[in-house]
Amino acid sequence: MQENRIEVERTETDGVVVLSVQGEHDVYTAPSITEQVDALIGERVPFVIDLTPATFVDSSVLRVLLEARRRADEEGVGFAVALGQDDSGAVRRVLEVTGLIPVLPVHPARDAAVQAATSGHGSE
Amino acid sequence: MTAAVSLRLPARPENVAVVRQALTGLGDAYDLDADLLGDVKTAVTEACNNVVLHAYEESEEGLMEIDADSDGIGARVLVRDFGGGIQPRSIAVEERTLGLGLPLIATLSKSFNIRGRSDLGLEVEMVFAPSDYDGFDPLHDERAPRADHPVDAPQAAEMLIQPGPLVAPVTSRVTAILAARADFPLDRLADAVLVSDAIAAHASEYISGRDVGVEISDDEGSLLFRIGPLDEGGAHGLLGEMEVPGLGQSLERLVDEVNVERGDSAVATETEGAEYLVMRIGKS
Repeated sequence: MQENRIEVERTETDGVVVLSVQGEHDVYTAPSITEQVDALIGERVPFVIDLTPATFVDSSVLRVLLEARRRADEEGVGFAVALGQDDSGAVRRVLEVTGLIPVLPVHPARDAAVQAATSGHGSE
Repeated sequence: MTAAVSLRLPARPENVAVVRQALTGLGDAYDLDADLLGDVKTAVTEACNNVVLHAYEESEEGLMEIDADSDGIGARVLVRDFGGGIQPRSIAVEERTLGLGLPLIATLSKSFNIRGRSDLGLEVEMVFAPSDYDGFDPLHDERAPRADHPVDAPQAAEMLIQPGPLVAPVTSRVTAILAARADFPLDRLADAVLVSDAIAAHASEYISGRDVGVEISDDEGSLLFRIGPLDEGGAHGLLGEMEVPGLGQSLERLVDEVNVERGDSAVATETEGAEYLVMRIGKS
C-alpha cells in the first residue's frame, strides 16, 4: 500500500517550493495541504502542487487547488499545478470530469510547473 | 437479498479511505475494470463526504453505512446515513467541498438515486456499468431507510461479507489501512494482514449459511478483530485452522490476545448469545 503523504521540497529554481502530494488524499488529508498552502502564501513563496505522484484526490482536494489559485492570484504569489500525462489516471479523470483543467494553472510535468511558478503566475 | 459487502463505520473523515479500500477489495475479487473501479471509488467517496460533513451535528457521533455489490461488469453501491436527512448542518467554510460531489456522482455513475426522510436520514444509491450493459439494475429502488436498524455509531469497522472469494481481499485491505493508520511498523502490519487472511480463508466454514461478520477496530495502538457469529465450537475450530502446515506453528503466535466470547452482532440478525472469536494484535 502506497503511503499517503505530502512532502515539502525546496527547489533550486528561484526558491520555488513543491508540495508533492503522494498517494490518496481526501476530506481527511485536505486540511494538511491547506495548512501548507496557507504558510507558503503567508511567506509569499512561489509554489507548485505536484499531483504527479497522487493516486486519488476527491473534491475536498479540488477545493484546495481552487482556493490556492484564488489566493495566489490575490497575493501575487507564483502558483502552478503539475499533473501527470497518464490519460488513464484517476486524478486526471476527476479534474477532467469537473472541468477544472482549463481553470487551474495545470502543467504536464513538475519541471514545467516549477518554471511557470517563478513567473509570478502559473497560467500557461 | 443482502449486499456482497456491508460496512458500518463511524461517520468520520478518516473512515472514507477505509470504504475505498473495501471497494478495492470488491473490485479485486470480481476483477472489475480498473477505470470503472476508479469511478466507483470517486463517486462513493463523494457520497461518504456528504455523510461525514453534512449528515450529523458536530457533537454527534453518527453512523455511515455502505452496501456494495458487483457482478464482475458493473457495481452497485448504496451509502446511507441516519442523520438529519436532506437538510445539511451548517458547516465551516473550510470544510465545504464546492458542491462538486453531486455532479461527480451524476457524471461517474450510470444511474443514481437519492432518497431521504427527515427522521431517518439519507440514502444515495449509485449504479456503475458500461453504457451498453443492462444487466445490473438497482435492487433497492423501493427500499426505504430501515427504521428497525441499530443506528448507533460503532466503535469499529464492522463488515458483513458474503462467504467465498470476496472475504479475503476485503478483509485484508481494511486490515492494512487500519494498521497503517494506527502506525503499525511494516512487520506487524504484515502480521496483521497474515492473520486477517487466515481468518478470511476459513471463516466461512464456521459461519454456516450466513455472511461472514468481521469487526476490526483500532484500539490504543492495537487492532482488535471480532469474528462471528460463529457456529458452536467455531472459535476453536477457526483457531485450529491457523496452524501453518508442516511447520507445527500457528499464526496464533502473532496475536497478543485471544478470547472466545458470547454476544450479539450489530450487523447480523438472529445471533443472540452466539459465539465470537476475538483477537488483539499490538504494534510490537
